[in-house]
Amino acid sequence: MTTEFKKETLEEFNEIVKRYPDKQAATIPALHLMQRDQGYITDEALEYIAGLLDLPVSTVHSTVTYYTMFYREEMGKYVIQVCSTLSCYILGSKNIVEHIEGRLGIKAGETTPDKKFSLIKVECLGACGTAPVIRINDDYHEDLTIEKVDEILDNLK
Amino acid sequence: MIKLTIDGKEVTTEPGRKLIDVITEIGTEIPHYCYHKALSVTGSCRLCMVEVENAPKPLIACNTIANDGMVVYTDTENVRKARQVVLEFLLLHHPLDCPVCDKAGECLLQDFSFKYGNGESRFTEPKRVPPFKDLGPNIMLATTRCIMCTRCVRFMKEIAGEDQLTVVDRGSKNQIAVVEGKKLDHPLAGNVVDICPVGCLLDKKFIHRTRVWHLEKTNTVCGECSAGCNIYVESHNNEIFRITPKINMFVNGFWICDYGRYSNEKYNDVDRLTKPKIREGNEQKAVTIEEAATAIANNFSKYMKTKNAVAAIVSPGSTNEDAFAVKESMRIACNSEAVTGLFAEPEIKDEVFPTGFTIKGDKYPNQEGLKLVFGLSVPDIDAESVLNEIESGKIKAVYYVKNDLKEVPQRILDLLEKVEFLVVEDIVESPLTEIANVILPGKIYLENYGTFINYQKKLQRLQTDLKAPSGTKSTWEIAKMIAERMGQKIQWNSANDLFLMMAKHYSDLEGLSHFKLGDSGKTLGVDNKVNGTDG
Amino acid sequence: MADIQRIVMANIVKDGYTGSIDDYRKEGGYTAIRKVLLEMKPDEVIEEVKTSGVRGRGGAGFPMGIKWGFVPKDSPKPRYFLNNADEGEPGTFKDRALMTHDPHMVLEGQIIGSFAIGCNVSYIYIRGEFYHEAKILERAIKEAEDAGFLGDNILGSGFNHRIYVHRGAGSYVCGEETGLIESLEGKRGWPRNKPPFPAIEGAFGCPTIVNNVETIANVPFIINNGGAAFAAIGVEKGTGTKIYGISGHVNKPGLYEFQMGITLKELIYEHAGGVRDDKKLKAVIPGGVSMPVLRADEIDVQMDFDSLVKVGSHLGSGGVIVMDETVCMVDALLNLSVFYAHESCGQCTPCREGMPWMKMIVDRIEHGNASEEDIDLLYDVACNIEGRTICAMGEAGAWPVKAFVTKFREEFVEHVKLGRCPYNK
Repeated sequence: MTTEFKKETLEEFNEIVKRYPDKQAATIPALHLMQRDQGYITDEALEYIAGLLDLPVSTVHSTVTYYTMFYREEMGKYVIQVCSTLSCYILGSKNIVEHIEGRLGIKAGETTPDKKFSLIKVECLGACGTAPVIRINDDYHEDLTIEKVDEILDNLK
Repeated sequence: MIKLTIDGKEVTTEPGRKLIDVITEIGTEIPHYCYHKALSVTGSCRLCMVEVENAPKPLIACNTIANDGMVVYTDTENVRKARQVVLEFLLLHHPLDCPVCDKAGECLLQDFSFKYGNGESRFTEPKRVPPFKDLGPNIMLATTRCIMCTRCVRFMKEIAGEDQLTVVDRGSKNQIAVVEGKKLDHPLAGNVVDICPVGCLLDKKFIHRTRVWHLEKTNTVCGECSAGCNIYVESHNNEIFRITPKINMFVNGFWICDYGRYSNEKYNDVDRLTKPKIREGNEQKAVTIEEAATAIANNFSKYMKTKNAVAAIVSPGSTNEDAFAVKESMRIACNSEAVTGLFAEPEIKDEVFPTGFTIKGDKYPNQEGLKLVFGLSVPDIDAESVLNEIESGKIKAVYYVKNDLKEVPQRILDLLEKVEFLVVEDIVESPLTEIANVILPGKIYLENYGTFINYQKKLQRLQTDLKAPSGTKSTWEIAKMIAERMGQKIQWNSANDLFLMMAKHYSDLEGLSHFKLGDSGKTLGVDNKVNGTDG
Repeated sequence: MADIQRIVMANIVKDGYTGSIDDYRKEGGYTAIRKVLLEMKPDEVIEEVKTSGVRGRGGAGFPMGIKWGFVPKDSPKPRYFLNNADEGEPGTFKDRALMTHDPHMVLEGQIIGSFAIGCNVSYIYIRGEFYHEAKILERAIKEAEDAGFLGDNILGSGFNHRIYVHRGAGSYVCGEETGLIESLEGKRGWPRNKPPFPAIEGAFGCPTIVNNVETIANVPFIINNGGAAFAAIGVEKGTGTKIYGISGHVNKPGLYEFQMGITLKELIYEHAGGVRDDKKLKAVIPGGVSMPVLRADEIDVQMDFDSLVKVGSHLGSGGVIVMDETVCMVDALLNLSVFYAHESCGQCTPCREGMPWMKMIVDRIEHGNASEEDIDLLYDVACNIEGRTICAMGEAGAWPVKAFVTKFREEFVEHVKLGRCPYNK
């Protein structure tokens, strides 16, 4: 795996950097771009980003470990994020987690051996009015039932 | 100036200062962990709470600016409660392993918990036990004891200028860390151990070696470069366990570098000379110091009829007093003014850190001192002219005072080989002692009393609690013995005596004494008679 | 005007409204900005907003006009206006809808606010999970640029302004304004000590205003109709309308905008269709999970700032979570305690150590491994955190614990006595 931005991403990054009076502000956007392209963020990628931003690696390292959306290890093709906070919880998020665990044969926090799915429990996704809610990669799926979850997972190739 | 009231006392101070500093200065303790005078304020430990009239709740004194008319209370029920609460939180996951913790006895977590804490724990849950981490060649992280004050992180960023430490993860999983594959190995890194208020950052060289309450602390001056950092030498049974910084805001601030911090090791690692030796043919034979002094006196006497036929070369690692003693005995007993320091331009650059802390490229602690001692009275005799006269054969005998582990340049060795009679005072065997006619075992600066003048012309006092290896003598003692054996009456009996003589001799030192130098020294050129104006 | 019920969702509820710039302009959008840029001085804008009395809709309820007025007039530094779209308070889902369905109203408010404080570059800090919402905003920004409402010399006024969308990456504390600023700057979202307040020294060391999306969306209305007209809506010290987001055990969860002062009971029973499956109501959190929970017998309360304070709670973000009789209050609190322990940034002592401790105690109570003293201990730990932290996260985590324990103590005691959760058959 390469740890550098591809050409187009680098162009995107160079545009983003211009938005801020201080380059460091482009840290989180850069990490998002890296994760979008590569799936997760390696130590080498941190070095690369730190280099682009003229920052010590330790600074970027500190930032990346703070945020829950950045993955430091390879995840499945589909990262299923099940909202577990109160509104979703009282409307059955626990059942959804258990159902998906059963279906995929993994526990929350794990990735299937074929690297197709990762399942994680996350805190409030901010869609409480349509609870229970899951997010798969960047897409929200709301007003869920077990049947709907199955339908959604069936459609993921 | 502004006036505020602290616990009923009216206090006057300059505007814009932090409340914690103002309160501490009047002698009232404000317990705190994250705040450090030399570092940026983070306000995260939440221990330094005080009550300020009209404020809705207690405020942290580190992030509150003292204002005119402010009414502050440091010992109210609210304040006591706030301290108790914070200390309880900080101890929840602490392993309470003081019996095996190297910080015990000088740990602020111990002290403040004892003084302001609750005395009993209400925490019955399993404790977090993150593994200890090796951070670098000298330092480890006893992770379980960390209270996340982040002093170490801020030190590395703000003072050392290199973010070798950082905080990773979030919440209760927060940890101090180095980036994977990197090390905490900055030349100022050792300071993080000193400023860690708890037993978390540990000096691997100090771990489990002694209890801090056994250590005797002597304040002196580091001799590893011309910065003249103030240090504590902490020893027990004549063994140095560690060297730590002594605060001197006009010299080293709160810090020392790791070269100085671990300087004692290199002297421990060598076989010290302990017996004087006299060359007989190809052999060097051990003798008593008296025999050695007599031999030197007899030989020097042979040359002294010609002025300046005997010379002395003194390393700029020597104290002013030792250099002066050599100079005086040469003048009085040997009819010689050919006395010089072996001055050297530094071969490496100064290392200057963001707030100005400097590790000097000049690795001699006292070039400035020797310039004063030798330079003023005999301006025309410098090192080069002495060396030239050795070369030309005018100088027949040399007393070389070295007492360090530095290499003598080949050129000088070659020159000294030509000398008819060479006396070398040093601490270890070396190419120089090999060619000596008489070898005298000397002392290192850590075993010495006297003064150095640093690169800022700051005159500072050396003190010691250590006994030098038996058989060694101070340079001033040896110089005295030689001169006495040449029939002179010598008045000095200590480094202090010599300093008083120097104070009469050199206008720069007028009116000064070791005592008057105190613990923070004196910048020469600033009015000497008023002690302490700059320190 | 005084009986108007909808301001920020007025367009959204209209049939066929897409949120495009054309739709927005058809409904009178981007007229306020014209008025502001061509007819008003920045101080007059601030005055108008002060007159409106509009208070922050993100949770803290600070008056927006007063906040804007804190920006020093004589500072030579650039100023920054940050739109807080971090929407992380559980129970809150209103800003997402505004950004998705009427992004231009938000942008117009943001441009006006920026003009008022003299800011040429502003940011929308949107929570990282709202990827598509960020894209919608970026498209809307492009539309506004093309239409001349953003860019250089807007409408010939000489005012230049650009808006950028900045995605977060998963951290509740980044909704706190200084945590947000740190995060924007590329750092850990560790909140700052105040003072200095952001209006004096905020993003990039410059004067900075941080306002919530919904609050900002009210600005065009205030300008178009005047601060006084806005102030006539709602209640005293709770002017205007509010989006109430109702979730949990109701028949019709969703977003409802009404004048401030509508009662919680009316919201639940008349608008959200009442409790699901004819179950009995047990508890309601009125303003996002950090705000103290109310018992079923306390819901005859007006949903505005002062009225909720009178019953020991707060309006917060207006996110209402309804819990019926099937919910175990200890279990519900455990769920929240897990949230706070997970989201504590770990910077300051009371929150870093206190949140996980509370979680552990609640966990033991829920699972029957606790004594009655543990209930008191739990309450005491919450009290010990409150008021002692760098940011309001201390209160956010302590208040629910205190309220749950106080209002439903009998359930906690029952757990302790039974040695198990009575709901876990």
